[in-house]
Amino acid sequence: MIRDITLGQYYKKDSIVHSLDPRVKLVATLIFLISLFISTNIFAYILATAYLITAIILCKVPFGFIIRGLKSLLLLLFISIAFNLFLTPGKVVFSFYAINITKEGIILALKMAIRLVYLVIGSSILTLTTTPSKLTDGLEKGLSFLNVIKVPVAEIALMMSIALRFIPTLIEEVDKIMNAQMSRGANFEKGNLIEKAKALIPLLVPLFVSAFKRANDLAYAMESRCYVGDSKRTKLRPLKYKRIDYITYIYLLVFIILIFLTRYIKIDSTLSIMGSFRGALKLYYER
Amino acid sequence: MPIFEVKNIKYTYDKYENSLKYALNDISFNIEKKDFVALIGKSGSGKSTLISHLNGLYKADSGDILYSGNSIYSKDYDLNSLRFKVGIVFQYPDYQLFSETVIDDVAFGAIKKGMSKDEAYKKSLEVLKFLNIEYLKDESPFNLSGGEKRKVAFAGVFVMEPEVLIFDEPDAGLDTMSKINFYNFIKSLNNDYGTTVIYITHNLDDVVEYANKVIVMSDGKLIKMGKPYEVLSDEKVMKEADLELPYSISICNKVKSMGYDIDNTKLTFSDLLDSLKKL
Amino acid sequence: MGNIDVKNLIVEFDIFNADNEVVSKKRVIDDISFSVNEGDFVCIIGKNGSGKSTLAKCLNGLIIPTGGDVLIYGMNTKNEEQLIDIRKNIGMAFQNPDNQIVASIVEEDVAFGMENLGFSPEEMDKRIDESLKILGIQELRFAQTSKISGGQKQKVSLAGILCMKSKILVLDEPTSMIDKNGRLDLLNKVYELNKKEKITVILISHYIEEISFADRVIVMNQGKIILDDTPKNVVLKDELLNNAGIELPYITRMAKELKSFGKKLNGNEFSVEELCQFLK
Repeated sequence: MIRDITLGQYYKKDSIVHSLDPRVKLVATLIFLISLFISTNIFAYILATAYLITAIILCKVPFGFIIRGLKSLLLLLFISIAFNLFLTPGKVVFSFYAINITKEGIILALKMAIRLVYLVIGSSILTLTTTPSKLTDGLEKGLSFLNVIKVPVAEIALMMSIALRFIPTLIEEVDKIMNAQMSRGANFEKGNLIEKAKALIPLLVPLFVSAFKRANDLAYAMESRCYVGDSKRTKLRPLKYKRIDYITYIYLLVFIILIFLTRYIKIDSTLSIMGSFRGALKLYYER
Repeated sequence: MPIFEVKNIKYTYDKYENSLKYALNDISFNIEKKDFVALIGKSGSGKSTLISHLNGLYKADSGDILYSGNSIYSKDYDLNSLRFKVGIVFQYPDYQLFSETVIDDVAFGAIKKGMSKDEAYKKSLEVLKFLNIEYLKDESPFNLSGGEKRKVAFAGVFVMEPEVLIFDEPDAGLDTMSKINFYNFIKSLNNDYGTTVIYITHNLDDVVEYANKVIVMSDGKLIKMGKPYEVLSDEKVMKEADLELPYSISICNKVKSMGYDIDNTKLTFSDLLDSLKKL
Repeated sequence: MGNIDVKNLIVEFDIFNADNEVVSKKRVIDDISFSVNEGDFVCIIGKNGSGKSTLAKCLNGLIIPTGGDVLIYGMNTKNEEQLIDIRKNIGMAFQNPDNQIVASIVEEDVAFGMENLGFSPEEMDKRIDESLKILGIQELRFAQTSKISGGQKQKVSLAGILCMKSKILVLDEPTSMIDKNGRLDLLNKVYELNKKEKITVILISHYIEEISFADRVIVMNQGKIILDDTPKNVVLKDELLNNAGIELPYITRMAKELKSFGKKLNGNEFSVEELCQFLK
């Protein structure tokens, strides 16, 4: 039954990551995502891995739970690896029939795979440790600078939180409508794609009609509770930074600086430094 | 042979968690043909879950349900055809109305049952006439009043000519007059055509008036089944189910506490009135 | 002048044709006047479509009258600058408990009105605590709104109204979607609010049983007020009620039958105790 679907995959646990201000977590996730895409060499990836492992350990969510999100991504992952592997031109290391696998292809495929997997894990940690309502609060506060260019951030955030509030209601409603129509002989599983799409009409029409009615009722209810769109609303639980949040920001700053620095480490030069170091050692021993 | 034999069914919503909270916990009962059964209990006691099992919308985790002697869980049983024999009318008509006109909507079930388009529309028109709402046939179902919507939703189930009619709180939100009309109509179906009726209700004074059997549920369990007066005057059961006593029982209790004798097996309005007149 | 003054109120809705042109007008409320005093408990009954819900929405300016005036503490609902002040004074709970809950957590929903009015977090915290206590639902403070019963949802919306210290409470068929136990429980709480907190209550209902809670009953039919009296007097006018499609409550019907049979009863009893008086 559709009831079984759980949305908003918040995992309740008492951890440092859970207690962080949602804005910090949003920034941290954003920085992590950026770092993945500006990473050019192995050092950056090592740093990112360390960053991710720290987060995984600190958030106390079982690892199996975190990587659950990867399952739905397997196909995409597979396709992207295959494309990069087979279609990148360069130095051929392996070939059979018309397919050539190049060194560049392997590296690119590996990079893509790591990026995708890290991306999913990183954002899963955000959603697993932050309730949807905290998340919208964080977005509202974090993006409030957009007010300057007349983006109604507060209204959008309220819309999002109302949408979240109505998800369980609508799921239950879908269930009820399906039951009512199935009791009249409707079948939502049988037939080809077109038949299936057609079978959805008896589900979707009542769902939309009801959603409009709910929206109408809700508008009345909000108005009668003194809601005026452009007013300066206050918050019951305004977001406030704590010590741990500032400390995390400093860590994030250090991390992003390190990531940028890795861009200036050239693998060749590293090797040559190491090479000359080895040469020096050799000289020392020979003497 | 009973029309429904429900044997030890259990059902839980959270199958993936190990909490053994059963929405239905070991329920067994029989319903005979032509019964008029009221299903009562607090909200959340499992009534709606139970009726959704009777036409196979939900499948019990264990136990069996026999319809006219055949297990609906046996491999070769045609669940789809069961849904045409056991019609469920849900509480909110808005959850089933979707077509452009009333007659289209009513015909939906008939077509699904396998009638040809002509047959289905002919049958639908007959049903609308039977319910005295023929004048609505070309209206949009979304423009109707609440009461009219209910009638159309009922017609949409009735058109499949079910042998058993199941209602989920048919009287909720109806004003008293519409309620009385509705029950009288269902009662006449039950009397004249032998339709078996099962309905969920919170209104215990109506139970006394119309039902011949009552099932009381509490916390996923069936705690009593019997004739209305047997069930409703059982103080222990009513307390366990946390149900308000119907007025008729309260009156009988009060009369007794004042030292008079009154026959508390006769609880319909007119019977009770007669008893009171004699005092 | 009372708390609420309704003067010659007329409401008409436009009827549109398929091309979105107004083809006719439907008069939903037809020239009604009444006033309600501070601390009253008024029950407005009528069958579906009698105009009672539209009337409720006129009281706090959700619907602006086509003709006539609605004055709340002297403020006219037609005056847009005063709407916020009107709505601060007149709280409203609606029929479908689901469709009036804005937030996912109970306390956030209770706070919604106060957030709109710009209260400080400390003040909100205090008032949420108080109002949940008055309604006896403190334990629900951090509960998810999707996981509580219909009756509890109605109490949550009442708490939201209490927080704003509204002096008038308009309940638009609050009990029609909750079960019988929840219904009595809710109405007892509303009754308490009326008696203890001196909140003026306007209860709109189609359950005639609920009039026994009120001091005064207004019966509506086809957009008009056909009766305006105490509950005891209203139920004596059974012919008028019948014409309006309203059946008497169970006990009252029984009392009336027994009275006509010659028993010593008034025919307007509401409770089992009152009914059994004739045995004494």
